Amino acid sequence: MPLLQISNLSKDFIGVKALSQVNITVEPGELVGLIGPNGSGKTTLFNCITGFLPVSSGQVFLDGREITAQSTYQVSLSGITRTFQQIRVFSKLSVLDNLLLAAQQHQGELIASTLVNAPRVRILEEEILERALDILEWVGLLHLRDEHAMNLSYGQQKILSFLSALMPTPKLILLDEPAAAVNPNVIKDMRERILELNRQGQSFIVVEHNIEFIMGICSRLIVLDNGEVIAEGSPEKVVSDPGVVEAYFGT
Amino acid sequence: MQKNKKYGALVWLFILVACFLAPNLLKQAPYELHILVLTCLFAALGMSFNLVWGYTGLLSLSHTASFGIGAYAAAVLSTKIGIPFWMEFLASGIGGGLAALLIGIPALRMAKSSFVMVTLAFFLICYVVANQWVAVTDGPAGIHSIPAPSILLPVVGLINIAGRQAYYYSSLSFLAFVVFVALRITRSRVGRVLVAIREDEVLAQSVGVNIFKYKLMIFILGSSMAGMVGNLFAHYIGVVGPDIFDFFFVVRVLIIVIAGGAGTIVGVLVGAVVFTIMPEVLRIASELREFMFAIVFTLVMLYMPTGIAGKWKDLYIFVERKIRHASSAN
Repeated sequence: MPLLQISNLSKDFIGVKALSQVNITVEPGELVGLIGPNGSGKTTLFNCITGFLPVSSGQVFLDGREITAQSTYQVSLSGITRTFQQIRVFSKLSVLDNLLLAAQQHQGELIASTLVNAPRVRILEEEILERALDILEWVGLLHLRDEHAMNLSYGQQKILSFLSALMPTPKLILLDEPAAAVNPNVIKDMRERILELNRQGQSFIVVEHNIEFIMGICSRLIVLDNGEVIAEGSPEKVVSDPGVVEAYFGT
Repeated sequence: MQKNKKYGALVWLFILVACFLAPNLLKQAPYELHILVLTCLFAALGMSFNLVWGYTGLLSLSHTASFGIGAYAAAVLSTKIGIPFWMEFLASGIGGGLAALLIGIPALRMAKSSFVMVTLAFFLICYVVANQWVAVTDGPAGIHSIPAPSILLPVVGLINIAGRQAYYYSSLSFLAFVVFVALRITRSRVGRVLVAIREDEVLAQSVGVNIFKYKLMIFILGSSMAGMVGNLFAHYIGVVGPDIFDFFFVVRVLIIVIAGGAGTIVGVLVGAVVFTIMPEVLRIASELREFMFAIVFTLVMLYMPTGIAGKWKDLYIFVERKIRHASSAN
């Protein structure tokens, strides 16, 4: 069974077809790249999968379970997390708090159990803390744990938002331009982290304009143009596809 | 650092003892004690508003409407029906919370600005209802001679809360309860989620927070606490009229939270003390009173935009860095 199955997904904005009849499947453990010219619908597709935008028609399945009509927080709890093209972190919260917040699927608490400080809540809290610290150590940002996220450099914030997506051990992570606007060291670091996680079985869909970056990590590329999938396959095959070349460079 | 903590604990202990002994020291000064009772009540009201607005970012202008509903519930139930105090106290809380539930279900799904407008509209409606629904509220005249509550305590037996001193202790204990709830919530996962909602709703949803559920929960909790404060206020003052839905209370609570330090516990306590006592002290300035109040508030906002508590924190960090710098230079 595919991990993610998108069938005949369409999204219309008033008068504009942002996505039309998109069919995509992602197998467990796959690292899929999603490329296409500006305005081709990549981010719209992410927004439709994660429930930020309602779809006009079509369905999305995760592990065979339909998630099309779920709201954003439900999709996240079902196991799809994402990062944003424009960095989003809780800038006035500490790095550690950012990560602790990203572990919502461990919750199940209510105000009542908080008021009595239930042991169950405390145990969960400790487990989450441990994972957050492990993750920070893994990327070497442990010394910044108490720093406000807004005091981090752009690259560090980008890594932090990546870690937030990773925090709840999701089934699938959607990365929206992880290598954009950061320096070569961070790109290299990001690339190694993604590959390491992928070797451990983590599935990704990565949107990226940096072709070199995406060719270097993905086993399969999907090309969107004007809201339609125009090519799909191994990176080598896709970049030599005449349709893709035309979409990028015109005639 | 360890020394600082010990020092802090001592200060807190001193404040607690002072709070406890205050009525004995002020036996000859009933007016001052009256101000202290009001301070406790406003601090509790400010604290509950702080949870809703300071932490979660919901500018609920119906907060004092819940306060007024609680006050009216106390007045109506104790003068016209006459049920035991604890039932009537709970009813005030439920009344305040029910208002939040009714407004919250539609309005918390809207944009933040629309939420403010809806709560404002509800607040204005309450004033009209209090004036017009004469059968229940006695209209513009208001409800008079609300009796002092009596509580059946285990061991002690039936005690009558009459006199300033008794009101002082009961409002102080209620304040302590509200502070306890606020501390528990804000220092837990729930508190972190509330701040996340205030900071970035989109990201909060994206990491899996059901923002509607949390907003509704805290809105109801804060509003029902406001209803309970209203209950105590009604019993203490003894009269409830449509004036309870006056903008005075909204402004007072906003000032306490903003100038004290929104999103902090200590700040709201300090704000309540400063901005309840100051108007009274300023009485010596007679006509200039309002003017001076405005000047003080403006100065606080100008030089302490994050409130008194925020400024205090900055100062603390500044001094600590200086000390650390000096010691590392040696």
